[in-house]
Amino acid sequence: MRYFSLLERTIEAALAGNPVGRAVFVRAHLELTADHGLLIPISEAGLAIARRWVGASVRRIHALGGVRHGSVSLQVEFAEGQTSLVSAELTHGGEPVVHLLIAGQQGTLRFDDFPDPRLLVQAIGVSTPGYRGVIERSLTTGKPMLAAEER
Amino acid sequence: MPYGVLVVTGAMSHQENYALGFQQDKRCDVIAVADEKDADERRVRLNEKLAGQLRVPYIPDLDAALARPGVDVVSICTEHHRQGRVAIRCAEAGKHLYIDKPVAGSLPEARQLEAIVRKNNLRSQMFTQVLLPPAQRARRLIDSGSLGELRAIHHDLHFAKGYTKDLPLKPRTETADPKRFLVPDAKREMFNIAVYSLAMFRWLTKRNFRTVSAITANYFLENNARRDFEDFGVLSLTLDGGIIATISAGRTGWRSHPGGGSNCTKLVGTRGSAFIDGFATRTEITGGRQAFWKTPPENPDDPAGFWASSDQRKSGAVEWAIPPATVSDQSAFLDALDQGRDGEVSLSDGVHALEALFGAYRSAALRDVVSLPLL
Repeated sequence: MRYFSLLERTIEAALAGNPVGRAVFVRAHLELTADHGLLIPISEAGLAIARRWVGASVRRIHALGGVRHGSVSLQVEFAEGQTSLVSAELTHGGEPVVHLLIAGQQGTLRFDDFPDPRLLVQAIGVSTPGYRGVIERSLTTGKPMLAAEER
Repeated sequence: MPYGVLVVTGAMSHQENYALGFQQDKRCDVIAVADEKDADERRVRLNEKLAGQLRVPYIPDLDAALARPGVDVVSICTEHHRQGRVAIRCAEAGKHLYIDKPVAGSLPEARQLEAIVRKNNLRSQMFTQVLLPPAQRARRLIDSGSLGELRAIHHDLHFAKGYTKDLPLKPRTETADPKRFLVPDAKREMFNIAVYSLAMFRWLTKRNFRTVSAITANYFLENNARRDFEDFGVLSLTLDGGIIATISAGRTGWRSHPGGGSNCTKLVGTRGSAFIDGFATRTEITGGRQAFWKTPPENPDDPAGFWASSDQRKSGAVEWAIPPATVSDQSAFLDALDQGRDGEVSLSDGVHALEALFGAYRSAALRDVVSLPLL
């Protein structure tokens, strides 16, 4: 999905100049697909860019829901204590929607988007670093998993 | 015959709002402000201050106040570490309870209180935000069936108050069983804010929480860091029936929002989803005399700006206000009493929320999932 690189660049540009201070929390609702099979890859891609916005490696992931559940939510702790909640949800045939909230130490960034579906048709690129194995293990065990970054 | 309301604790607490809400309802007669005999000097001064504002006596002996004729309801808003024992005395005296959130600072006390309320057939309501427009809208959406079966619910509730600092970042080491939650210049913010989300989830779903996983943090507030109180928390929960839920809750500083703070709910169902922004309906005021982001003057009695009697007005840029609830939380409790039922969020619901909060602290301390109910 080309959309993720666009999203990442858009938010990077908004955060340039440090308008909200250091980013400490990222909430992302990514309602981008009608395909259950893409929920985990989308949550992983969302986490990969959230990691770059907070500027720290991922320490621990707790994943809830799952493919059959119809939504995947990741609770993430980063190495310096920052946190994130990233959710991938189904569009159910409606318009794709993204809601993003980044809390910084001196302010907040809010981003809402209704992505052009043409930006969503390509396959999702491999996230670097990758978290898919950790997400799947957490979904299977119901436990938070330490995330030794995979790639 | 009006309801006689005894107010326990006074100014610099949510009682500033609750007592006024009761006094403004014609069905009420606020009888007095009262507190425990050993309330500290500051608390007594603040209790007397509210009593003066309400034009009622201050009774510095809770048992004597409870023994006065005509007391039907007690509005309780003490510091959490003593709220359980105060509420137990009020319930043992046979009074209906209107109680601040969270209901107590100790789970055993909360459970004991719940049992007394049930045994004495008392009515109860915990203060929440379920009567505010965003929660009401969420309820209507779920009840309409348009989302299908509810699968997930997410809530971000951030309070845009307090003076933030660039605190050094590091993972927080949490206490598994905290005992103190409120001092004049700091609160445990997951405890005080996530309770609104938890109560709303239970109110919306009528389901019990089954697991909780949480992370607490110190991102924003120096006083919280100094007192080892978290200023922010994230929670992930599972509920009966397979519903999943997440929360972010904290006090993010005056400059983090043009109004009261982010308040966003996402509902995910089997047929659709909905995003509810608490500020979707808002009033924006702009004018030439506004200096950009002027923060309120610091009140030495309330340095964090917790309570309504402190100046909480930010000025500059755009200032957002949201529509109020159609009925005050206090009047809603009186409606419930009129109808012989509990309020929308009862003490029992409050105990469930409290259980999830204590589970969250245990989870944050252990860095693991905690099963509910707690043993």
